[in-house]
Amino acid sequence: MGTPTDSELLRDIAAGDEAALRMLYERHAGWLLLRLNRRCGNSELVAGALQDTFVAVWQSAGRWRGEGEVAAWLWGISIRRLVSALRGRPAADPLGDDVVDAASPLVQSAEDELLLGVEYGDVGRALRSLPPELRATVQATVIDGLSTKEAAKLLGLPQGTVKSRLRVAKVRLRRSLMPARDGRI
Amino acid sequence: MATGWHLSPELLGRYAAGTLDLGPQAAVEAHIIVCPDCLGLASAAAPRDTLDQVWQGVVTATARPTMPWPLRFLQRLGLAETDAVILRASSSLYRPWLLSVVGAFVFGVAGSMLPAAEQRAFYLLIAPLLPAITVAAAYDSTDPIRELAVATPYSKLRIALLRTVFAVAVALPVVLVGGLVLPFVGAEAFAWLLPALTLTLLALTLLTWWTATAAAGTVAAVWLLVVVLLRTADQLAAVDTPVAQLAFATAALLALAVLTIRITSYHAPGGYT
Amino acid sequence: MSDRIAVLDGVTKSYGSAEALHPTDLEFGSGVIGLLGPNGAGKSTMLRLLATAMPPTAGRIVVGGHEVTGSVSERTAARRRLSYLPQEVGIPRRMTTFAFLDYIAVLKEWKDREARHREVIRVLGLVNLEDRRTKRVSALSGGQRRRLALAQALMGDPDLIILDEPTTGLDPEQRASLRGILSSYSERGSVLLATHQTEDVSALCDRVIILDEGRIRFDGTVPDLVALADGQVWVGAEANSGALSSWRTGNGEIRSLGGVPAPGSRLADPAVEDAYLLVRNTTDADTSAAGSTGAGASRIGEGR
Ligand SMILES: [Zn+2]
Repeated sequence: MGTPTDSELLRDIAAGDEAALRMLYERHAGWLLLRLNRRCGNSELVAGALQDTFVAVWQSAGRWRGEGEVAAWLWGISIRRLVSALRGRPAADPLGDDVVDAASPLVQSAEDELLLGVEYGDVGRALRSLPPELRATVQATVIDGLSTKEAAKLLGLPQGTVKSRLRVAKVRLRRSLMPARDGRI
Repeated sequence: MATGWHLSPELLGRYAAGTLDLGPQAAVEAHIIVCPDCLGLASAAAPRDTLDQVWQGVVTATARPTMPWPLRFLQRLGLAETDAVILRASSSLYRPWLLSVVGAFVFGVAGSMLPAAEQRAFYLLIAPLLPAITVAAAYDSTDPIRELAVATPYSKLRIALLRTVFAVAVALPVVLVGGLVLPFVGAEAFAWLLPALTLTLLALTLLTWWTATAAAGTVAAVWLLVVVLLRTADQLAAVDTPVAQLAFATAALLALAVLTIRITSYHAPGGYT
Repeated sequence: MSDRIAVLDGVTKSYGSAEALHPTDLEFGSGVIGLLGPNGAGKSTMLRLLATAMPPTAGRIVVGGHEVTGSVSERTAARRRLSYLPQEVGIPRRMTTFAFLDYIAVLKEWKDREARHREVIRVLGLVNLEDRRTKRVSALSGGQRRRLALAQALMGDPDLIILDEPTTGLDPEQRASLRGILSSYSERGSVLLATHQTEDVSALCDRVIILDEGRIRFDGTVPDLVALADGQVWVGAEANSGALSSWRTGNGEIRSLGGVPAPGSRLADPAVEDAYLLVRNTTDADTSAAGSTGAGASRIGEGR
């Protein structure tokens, strides 16, 4: 018997297998912790979000639809837990829409797809060309897959500001990425 | 993705330390999602002690059973969390509920089918017994872990009282509402309260000697005898007289005294020493 | 740590005319103490008395400086110092493992919810049941139930841990891990365990007490006990005549305990079991004949 895949683990967790949860935790908690640390400096909130993530996985592993990367799904839950924690109050329903929404694909539009479909070095270069406040917006929405509402909470900005910054950022990114893409395909 | 590009230890170290610029950082994060090898490397780079601590939290949060709603409700009214755990542990928790509801139902149906003359006697027979028997029913299930529980310092009297209060809290409203709603119940709607108290205390006292079945059976037999005697003498209304109520109060006090002696000297209800 | 964690002073227990425990004086210090004896020897009686699960007929019992046989408050104080694993625990089947331990922890006066739950998880880990924490008791195997019952006895930091046959139903690996746990406790307090397994005693116990028919037959260290069988164990091609017990070992030779050495046989190192059988039979003439059948007789089992 080889090492179970992530989706096999989720299936076992849905059936109430505690050992499978431990295995999933061993595999994914580390990088989730690092990534959450990049989003929030408060280690207590981060630890809380990480714990909530795996509790949510335990309670709702059966809701994973089996599409895409489990890692992306986990990150979607984590970042939303962190947003809830930042909001200063826990999500009213511990099994709320967060979990289901988190299954929504990381990449949302043709533009976003373009963004992630190219070589990482190019994304990096393109992102670096953006001013810091636009970069943060792109990270929260495109990379973390948050809605503008959630991103606004994470960044502590009004929703309107997030929307307009995202618009500007996407225009700029497209401009700087297009040539690279043309040359490659 | 399929470019053969992977995270170097140096890049990963800088990512973990948070010294990467946003661009490379995004690249690292996007790569981790799709590359199991680098995902493993990144996970291994996270602080172990934090991960262990969070895991303990996950273990506890996933293992913690939820309180049944009646207990959550009582907790909101001020029931201590530890007391709620005690009540949750008695698998008999649902038995008093079930007994009361079924008892009240049977009582209502059977009562309305009886001839009018017998209905009052019937109510007088059942109403005071229901709380007493409910209390006794709450005790039987302490048996499985009795041997174990007895060696713990927690006050067995407190366990007994918790169960009693809970059982009575369940049974009392049922009988009270029944008394007010049922058409054939008149002045007895409240007259049974003192007898109920007396019988409950009597049951508790007997529980310090006997099993729940024996205690409940004895109490039921005694009360049946009293009601039958009153009915034969056509003196049912006597229950509501000050003299009778005083007699019940005296009997209740007596039972309470014996119970107190039993508890302080040797036994608590349910056979605990 | 005090030298006298528990004291029995002229303690007896009788049921009607039957004496389950004859007048007994004992003192327990720190370390692991093994209680050996056949079924009905009074092992469980002694443990139940010490665990305050029942009162003695006569005598005085002190645990952790508190008189079990005294007032309710003294008994309660003693209960704070001890933990107890009964021989049989009927855990309600609908409870989850966590909920059961949570309940016992409340009975052991763990009031703070977070600290209590941490302790529950700790002992679940000790008995290797962490990955069964959400399961109902009805879903557990027999061995897992036994370990769950054991877990509650490991909660907190008791002076006296009383275990009635803790190793029954455990596989060798789990038994070894239990020995590790208990020996770490024995530095701080006293572990008193009744067992049928002489291997447990030789592997774990600093002191052995052999009980039979409510009386103490032996009380001393494991080497002292084994020394009783020095010069009594023989190995050879044939069984000793009049041997207390004899059986064929793995390499085809026959090992005999006591009796007249068969020609060509040689002395062998005795084990705890040999000494145990000797102690039991020197005071118990009527049972000695039963064990001394000829060569190839099966190994004498546990008790009667
Ligand atoms: Zn890689």
